Amino acid sequence: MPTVAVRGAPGAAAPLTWGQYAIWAAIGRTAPNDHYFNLTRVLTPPDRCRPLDPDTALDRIGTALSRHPALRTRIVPAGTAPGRAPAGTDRSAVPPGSAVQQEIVAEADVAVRTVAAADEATAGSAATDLVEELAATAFDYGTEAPVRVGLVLVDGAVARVVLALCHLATDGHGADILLRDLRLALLGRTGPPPGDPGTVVAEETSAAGRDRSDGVVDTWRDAYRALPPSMFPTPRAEPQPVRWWVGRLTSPALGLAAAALAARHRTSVSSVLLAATAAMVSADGAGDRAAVLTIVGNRFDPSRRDLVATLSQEGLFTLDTSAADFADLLRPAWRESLRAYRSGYYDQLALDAALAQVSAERGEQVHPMCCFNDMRLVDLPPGPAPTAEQVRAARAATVFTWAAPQPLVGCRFCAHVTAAGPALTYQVTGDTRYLPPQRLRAFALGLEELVVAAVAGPAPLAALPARLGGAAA
Amino acid sequence: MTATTLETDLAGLVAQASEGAVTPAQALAEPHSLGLLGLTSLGFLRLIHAVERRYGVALDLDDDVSYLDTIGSLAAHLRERGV
Repeated sequence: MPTVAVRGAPGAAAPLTWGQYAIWAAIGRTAPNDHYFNLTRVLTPPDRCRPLDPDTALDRIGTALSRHPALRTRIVPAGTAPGRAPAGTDRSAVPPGSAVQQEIVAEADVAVRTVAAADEATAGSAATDLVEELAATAFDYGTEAPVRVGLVLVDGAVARVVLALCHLATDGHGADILLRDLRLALLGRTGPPPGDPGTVVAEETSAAGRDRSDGVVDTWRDAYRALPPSMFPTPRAEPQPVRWWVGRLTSPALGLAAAALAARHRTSVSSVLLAATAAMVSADGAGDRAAVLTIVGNRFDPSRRDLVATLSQEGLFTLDTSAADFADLLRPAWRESLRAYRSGYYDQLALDAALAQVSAERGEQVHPMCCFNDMRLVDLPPGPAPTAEQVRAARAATVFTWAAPQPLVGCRFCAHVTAAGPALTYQVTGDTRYLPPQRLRAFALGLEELVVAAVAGPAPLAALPARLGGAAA
Repeated sequence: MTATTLETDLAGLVAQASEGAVTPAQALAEPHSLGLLGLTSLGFLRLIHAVERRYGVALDLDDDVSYLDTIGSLAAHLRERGV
């Protein structure tokens, strides 16, 4: 099997960054199903570098990957002496979630899986199959490079490059930066300086970093003292055999309606969708204070913009949903979303300890068990705000489909927002013990109905429990 | 800081926060919301971060955040805090 060599200066052992620690803890909670966190990307080589022979492609891919030290990350047990990481051991050497540190090795060889497709028309689906195959197993964090590479060939030339990435090495934004660099490398060009992930650890361990984290931890602690113990509190059914179901609402109407409301209420599409999610969560039975963990990119500083690294962490979004009309939630949700984004960068160990203390004080586990991840790169589409008539006309194009269920997800409800052309895809992952399939589907469709209705007139929140299939228990 | 200097500086920060999607002139001219120019949530957070670093203030997100709507309202908010 061909390989790609990823080379660069080695780095001394260092603690995990706050973002890495957050993912490592989540991996620990999710293992052995931790391939759930793997990231995938597919690149179609630009026409200008085609036909592209595999050897040239692998050479250029190696150049692009070598720019980013994070792709030479190895996870080693905490306290391992420099350069003394156990070599060639299996996954048991660093059990997911255990006490670890990281090293940047000088060289990592990445095996490249190659498949052939009959023609360009089938290369896309071959790439999808290949990248899903590469991402279907968890990474061996102690011995394996955090990137897997595949090529789809048509007539012996490279038609697609696929990557599966370990979330400990990068978050979604970092993966997109890597894809951009890969594209430039295939054209024989070089992207902007990638930045040094080592500075992240230095900043986080500085006095200013500690102060910042302490302030954020205080905010979470205060909020957790007043929150309901969890969202989706009511067990409603025996879980399905594969317990977490995944549904995908793809809706041009939702995209247009959210844009119209964002413009009208001077907020963002993201914030409108967060408000709608909170309203639906309350309607399920959480009371009038909804809590949603939001994934925060933490790339606000220009020095971090082009960094391939795991910087994203969870922020805490809370919203008082006791208003009568959905429109009344939108300005408060804007303020709360900004606060949530600012609450998403902290020492995860310190936060975990503080929140465990709150749970102990209250005598019950406090955790929202509900998260929201807006993975889009742009928010409000350019141009005039969509009209109510445009939103109504788009309604016919709404599609809801089920994707493959997951055996273990550490949450009762997760929303993932992506853009699909002018449409928004609002993907829901639900624990079928608390959100049986029909209720999960009703959640997504009810959310669309709520946002769409608010464009043309009142959207009473009191109507939501019935739309979920029954009164809040 | 004089009116034009503060407003002009802030418009430059908006342009940076939007990675060029919004020009300083557009930011200065927008009467309702920088979001209408396409400034994203990430853009607003970059702007908050940049303003805090540049002027050494901590922007309060606990109450009404309407001061973030336009260059004029943001400048007025900063002046109240002695910038």
